[in-house]
Amino acid sequence: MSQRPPAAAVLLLAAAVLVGSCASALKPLDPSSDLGRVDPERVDPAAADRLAAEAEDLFSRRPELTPVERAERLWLESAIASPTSARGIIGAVRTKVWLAHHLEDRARRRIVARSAVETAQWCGRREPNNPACHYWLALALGVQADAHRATAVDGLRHMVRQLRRVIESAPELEQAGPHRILARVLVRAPGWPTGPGDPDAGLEHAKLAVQMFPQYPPNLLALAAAYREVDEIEASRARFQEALEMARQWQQRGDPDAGDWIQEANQGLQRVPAM
Amino acid sequence: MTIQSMRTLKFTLPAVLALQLFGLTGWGSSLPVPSPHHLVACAPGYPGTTQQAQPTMDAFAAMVSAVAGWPQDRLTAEYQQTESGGVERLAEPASTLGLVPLPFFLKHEEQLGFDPIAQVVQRNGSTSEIWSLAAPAGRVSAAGDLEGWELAGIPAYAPAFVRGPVLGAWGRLPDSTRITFSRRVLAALRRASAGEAIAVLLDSSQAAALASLPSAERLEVVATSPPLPAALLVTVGGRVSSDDAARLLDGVLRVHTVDRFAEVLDTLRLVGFEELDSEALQHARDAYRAAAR
Repeated sequence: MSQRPPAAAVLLLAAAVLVGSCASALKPLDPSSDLGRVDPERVDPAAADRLAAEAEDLFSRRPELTPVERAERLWLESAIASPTSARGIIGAVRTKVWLAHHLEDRARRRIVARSAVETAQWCGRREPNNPACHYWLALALGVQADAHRATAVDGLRHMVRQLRRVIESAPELEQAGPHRILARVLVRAPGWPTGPGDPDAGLEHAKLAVQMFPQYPPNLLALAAAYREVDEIEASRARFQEALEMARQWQQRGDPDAGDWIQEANQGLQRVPAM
Repeated sequence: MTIQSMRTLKFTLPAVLALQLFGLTGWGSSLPVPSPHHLVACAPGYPGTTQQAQPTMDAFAAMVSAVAGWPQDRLTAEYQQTESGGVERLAEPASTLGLVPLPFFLKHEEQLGFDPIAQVVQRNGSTSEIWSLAAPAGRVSAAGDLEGWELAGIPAYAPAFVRGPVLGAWGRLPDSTRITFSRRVLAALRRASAGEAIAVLLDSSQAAALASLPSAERLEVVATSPPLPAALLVTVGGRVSSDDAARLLDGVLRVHTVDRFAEVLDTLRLVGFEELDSEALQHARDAYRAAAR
């Protein structure tokens, strides 16, 4: 499996705007669901491997929607065929998070976002000590907060907790994803005391992400956004520019998410006042 | 021209002109088309962007249209997170309504032609905001102690609001006090708790949470403002007819009674609207103008 999150993951954590209500972000899981029970007739480790490989291949065809939607189903089938492993579930959450950002239909985005959280909760049930489960639960909570604003306050609180936990055990996961995503949350979330927002702390996490993986454009985008929020405009502009150039290189190498990064860098450059 | 046709002209021409003046119709249309309204909500220093807020603002516009008895698409709404963005959009002829915090209102009332309709009831049930000034413990006991200090906070984009309505009753701030807008309240409190010469303005929810900060014992609240209207629903530039303003007021005063609007109100951190406290608003205006002189 690719060790890189889809672009959606780094773009989605907006959730911060006018955050209000306090609906619970995590729901009780239904043990009778496909992921909650073991169906001996569907357990097949070889099939699980095959389905996972096929799903990964389909997912690499993003930003085309249809293959990604099919990948989501295959990941889930893989997870059912291998009921003690988190691999298929992680794949399914990745695709759901991506879809929650890229689907045009708002109603469908809301459904996928909620489903991403539920699926990610099953990940933690299967492998409680797998940092990827906590990481992807955090991302799923982010897309849910964006799609269901009522869950944002509770969701952001859980997100921060999950990401801090992953930073302790696997800070390098997904190209310093825990630092990068925590930076995004702290930069964009409502500030104290309403929410966990703290742009200065976010900047520190963004710096750590860039320190660990300086060639990864989303880390530079997170850093650029953090600089903007603490009013270091020149530094922000420089990082957005650097991210743009780097993303173009990734695009030339055929990266399916590079288009999203280029778009974010261009938007960032537009939003940063010229010096 | 016959008497009959003159009578017709007498009654129809002013009516048509009036409709045109208010943009209600055009020549050739058989029925008056109500003029559209556009509301700009502006909250400098608070999170979110125009784009992120749009779904919420769309829901807010639909809610207000419903309670005002307007067609659903008659009102549109947007959010602006910066003062300059808010001013720019509110100055446009299409903008007819605003939802703005008191410092923004006082600073731009004359320039943008605000006329308040109602005031916001915040989530805590209050229409008022009480601002608190936190400073390093033991170093500030009077306004004069802030000689050469920085005073930071969200409403500081309107320095006369800070010097007048918020702290005027505490005392006159020295001219050397630098009043600086900052949305990063937590960072400012960290600096204050580290002993820097900075005082920080806190809204009521921040003041209530101050004790929970790890650095709380190194900080103290040295002054509080009188209760001030928190935020206002206003018409802009005289671009709303008195009939529309009356319908709007009547509608928003009832909005909290409609269950299906609870979520959108909560997302905006409101529970509803109340009639203006004109006396409190006039006190704030007077204090602002005195400080701005």
